[in-house]
Amino acid sequence: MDLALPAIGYGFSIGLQPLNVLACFVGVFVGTLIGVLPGIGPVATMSILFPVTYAMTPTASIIMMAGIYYGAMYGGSTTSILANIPGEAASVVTCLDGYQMARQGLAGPALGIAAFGSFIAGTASVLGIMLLGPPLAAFALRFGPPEIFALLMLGFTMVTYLAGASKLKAVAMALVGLLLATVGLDPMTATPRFTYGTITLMDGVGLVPIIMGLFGIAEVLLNIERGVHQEIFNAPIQGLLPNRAQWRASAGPIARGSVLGFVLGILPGIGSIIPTFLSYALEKRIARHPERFGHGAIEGVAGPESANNAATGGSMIPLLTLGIPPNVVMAVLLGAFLVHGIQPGPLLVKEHPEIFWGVIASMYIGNVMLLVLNLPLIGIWVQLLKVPYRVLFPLILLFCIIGVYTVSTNVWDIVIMLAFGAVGYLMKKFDYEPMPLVLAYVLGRLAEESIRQTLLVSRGSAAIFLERPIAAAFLGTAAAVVVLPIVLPRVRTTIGKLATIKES
Amino acid sequence: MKQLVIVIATVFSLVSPGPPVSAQPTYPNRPIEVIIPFPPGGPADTAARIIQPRLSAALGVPIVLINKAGGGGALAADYVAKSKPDGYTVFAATNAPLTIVTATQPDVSYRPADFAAIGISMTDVSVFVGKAASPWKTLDEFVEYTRKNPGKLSYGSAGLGTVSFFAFELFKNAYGLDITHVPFQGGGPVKNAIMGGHVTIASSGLNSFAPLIKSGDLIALATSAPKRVPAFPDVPTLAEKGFPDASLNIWMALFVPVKTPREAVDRLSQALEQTMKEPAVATAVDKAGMVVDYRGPAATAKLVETEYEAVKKVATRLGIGKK
Repeated sequence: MDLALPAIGYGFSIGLQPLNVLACFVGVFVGTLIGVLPGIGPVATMSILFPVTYAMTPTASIIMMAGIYYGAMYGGSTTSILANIPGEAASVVTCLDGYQMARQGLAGPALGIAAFGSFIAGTASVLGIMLLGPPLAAFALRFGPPEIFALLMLGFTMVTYLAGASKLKAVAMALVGLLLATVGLDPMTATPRFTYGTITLMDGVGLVPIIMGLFGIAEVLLNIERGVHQEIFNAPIQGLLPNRAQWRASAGPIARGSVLGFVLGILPGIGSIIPTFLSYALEKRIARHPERFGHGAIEGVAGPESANNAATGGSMIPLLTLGIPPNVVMAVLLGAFLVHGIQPGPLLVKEHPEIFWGVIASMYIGNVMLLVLNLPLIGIWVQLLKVPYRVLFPLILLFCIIGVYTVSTNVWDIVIMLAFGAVGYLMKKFDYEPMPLVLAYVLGRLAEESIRQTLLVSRGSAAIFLERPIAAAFLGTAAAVVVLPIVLPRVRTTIGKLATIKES
Repeated sequence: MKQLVIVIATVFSLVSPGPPVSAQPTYPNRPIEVIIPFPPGGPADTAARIIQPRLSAALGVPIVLINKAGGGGALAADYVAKSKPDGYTVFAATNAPLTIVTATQPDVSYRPADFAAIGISMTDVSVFVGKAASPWKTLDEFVEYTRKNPGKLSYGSAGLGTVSFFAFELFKNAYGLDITHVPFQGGGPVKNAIMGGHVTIASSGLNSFAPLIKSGDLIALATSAPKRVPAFPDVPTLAEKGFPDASLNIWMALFVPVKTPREAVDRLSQALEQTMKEPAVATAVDKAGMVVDYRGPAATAKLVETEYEAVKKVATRLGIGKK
């Protein structure tokens, strides 16, 4: 793409047109807002605002829709950090350390690093789209069912890194997540599984009701019993922005999270949630003091929050260059193209350069807007912690209900959410972590589909996983992640013993 | 409220080329809800939004579009079937909830007979595509290649309960081909699978594959359109190859609960017919990559009946759905 420089200049000439700047601002503003509100996610919002785009130019509508998506990734961390309730599914992992930081009076730096990390990752991923877009899209095409399955297996090995005190309980929760993933029509034969004759369960149990129940409703229930005293108060609020030491600790996680999120975002079906889990697990794995994770490690906020923003950029690549929507949000965005009679694909750059380069330029502009918008908000959010719980939690409950209902306009999803709220409450009481359940659920549906697709293509032969180099590499890594921690210490002891024998 | 509605209705009929206000029968006299069984952005949603302004003008009342997605369209179908049969709840259905869910999930809470047809507005024709680098370039070459390699090839569809799957199964059956089916979750993943060479051939609506065919990345072997699609004059149809019965396309239609008064059904179908004759509507349909294909209530009801039987037969033969 040697044309990138003049082309991006052209892109800015489009992106800076007043109407497009306005569309971008509306998009990122709405995105931040719905990111902050628990329950309502980008898919629901883009769907609700979809009809508005009919009256707009194609470029402005795509700019706005994309803004909602990456804007939501900025806002999603806010309630995760402040109230232990993810504002958005992709910010679930941020609860782990973000909330602990807030309890220690570090809400400001946590929100700050989430905003800066998002900005750095967002901007880097736009650069990535511009410079590496087409070759990376071609690379992503090599990810068929076997590769995706092998990658997901690597994801499953991360379950233990999300464990709290008990690894056994973490694995148990992961199994529950896998079981939940089997509810709904069988993807290969359309046989109803555990639907009990209901239409609601034909599509399976929704991810949003699960997450909002396990985290949002459960948190509200827990706080009812805690009574009126507000524990977060006890720690004084220390600074609103990350200090030098916190920056130093976050630089690596932000860089790794950006690359991880960007690359995974390009792959079909991965979305923006799985990268956050992998980023968290990676940071914990390589940390010098992994025991700090779960107790307010800033790396556990910086990495995942960068990863989900980078993933939004990455997922634009297959859509803009091949017309392939790699996840649900991109499918809605594809719809926004189609209603204007524009079909994204290999010819988009040639036929509609104003859209292609205009949207890319707008993502630079939008990321700057988001940073400017979010930094002053941190002060306000931190003050939010002073709102009495008797006011805050009924509001959260209300937003969760509205959010879940808008996703599907199905009352039964609210019932499912409330049921998971009760389950989540009991899980917290008995020290079961909800995180492995969510990860296993997200991975499980994709894993079942991809392994069955693989075996259909290979006519039942599992050898295909070893014949395909990318798949074999992932499976090898997954095996190493599981086996090495068990084997290495023994090898070390043996070598140590041998060395001692030699010396003597 | 009622006054407001009348004001809105009057405004709409003033700006519309439709019949004058005095000619309005008693129905409709308040906004009509149109229930779309899929989320915004898909062909069903696009179709409803294309016809919404003109249909509203022709009827003289506002039309409110509501997306109620879930269960392959069954959630919306169930909602409409149970709604008051007064002509104010209209179902913007496609094949999926009407003929496919009912044929594959026999114990679902509604039947095709629960709905009265208003008419079909447009179709997204099915197309079979392969990679440009494939050893075959035409339908005949593909058929010959497949016969030489029985059981070694695979095709991708947008999922088991989708038109793309049943369309290809009908084609397979017509030619007696042995190709393994690999279902994906929706049109996007199928694109990835065919572009990456993970399946030999893919079945989908033409709408979503058109750019990749135009760019030369994919070749279209055949469509199941009644006649050749103007945008792709070189692509043959299954009908001209001698298999008109193997044709299955995604159609967009309007239905109301079966007990809706005759007067309302007639008024709605007359409005739909008028809408589909508008040149502006035709342009919008064309831009969305679909084909204007208006059919009246009787023809629509007949198609639902024959298609249900065809789908049921394939489903039974392959053991699809509820056993």
